[in-house]
Amino acid sequence: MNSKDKQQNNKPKKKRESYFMYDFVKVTGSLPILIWLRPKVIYAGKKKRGEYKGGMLVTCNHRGLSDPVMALCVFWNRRLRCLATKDLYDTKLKAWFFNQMHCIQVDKQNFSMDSFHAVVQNLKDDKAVLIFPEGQVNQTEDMMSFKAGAVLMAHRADKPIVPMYIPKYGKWYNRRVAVVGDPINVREICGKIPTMDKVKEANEYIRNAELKLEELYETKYKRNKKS
Amino acid sequence: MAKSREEIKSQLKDVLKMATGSSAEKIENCTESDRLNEDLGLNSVGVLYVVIAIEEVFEVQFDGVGFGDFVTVKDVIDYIEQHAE
Repeated sequence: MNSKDKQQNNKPKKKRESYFMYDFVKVTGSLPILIWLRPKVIYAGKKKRGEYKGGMLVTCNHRGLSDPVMALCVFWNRRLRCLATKDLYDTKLKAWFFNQMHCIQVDKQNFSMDSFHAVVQNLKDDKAVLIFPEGQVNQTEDMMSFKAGAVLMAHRADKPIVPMYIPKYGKWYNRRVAVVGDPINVREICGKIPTMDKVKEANEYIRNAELKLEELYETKYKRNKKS
Repeated sequence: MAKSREEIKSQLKDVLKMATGSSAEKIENCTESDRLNEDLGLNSVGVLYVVIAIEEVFEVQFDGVGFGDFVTVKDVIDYIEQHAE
């Protein structure tokens, strides 16, 4: 055995991730979702369906518990990882399920750096991660302020943020809509070593991008629907 | 070579200045007993920013710790001192 082979053998082998349960839920759940939600996806930017590749952090306003499902409909060709609060892992069955769905556990009360590192590592591994920067389900009409954690995650991993907007849900039988924008390179706004003010600026830029998507939906698509 | 406590404190102050922005004078005069949230005005994102910056500057990995473990400046310096190579 030569030295190169020895070096390769010494490298810690990365545990192969199982996507069986994830894909099973995705495929079996797709038919009822398509019938019930009838998702309509509007690609507001230059990129179209299937063109969102590589590591990316999807930021979305939080309207309800079906938002992650809508995000899966938008990025159908990707295995999207969601951030799930620690409270959801309260039973063994739930913990197993969320682990199988490759969710990243977050403790809202005492945020751990392990969650942050997990998100950054996923992004570096060219995975897509979904985050709700509002931090909670928004019950109000207006979009809430964003927490800048998403910007720090994307900046650290050097991956883009993809803004996504979900309009307020109507009746349970109404069609669900999602509007997606083009990826935003955070480092172009913050620079390589950002100050906190720059991080806040980038955070506001992301929120404005989502507000633009909202405006686009309200002026163009909603009006068309009424007429 | 391991950094002295004073060196760590001085570099940490630079990081804290970047995190708080406007209150540079307050950071310069801060003591080890000052609390990150209440006394220095760091919110959760500010603390996250500080932790990331510390990882970069001191080459320390914050594993298995929550933000609740760091209440005062002393807690942060202690952690860096223990974990910096």
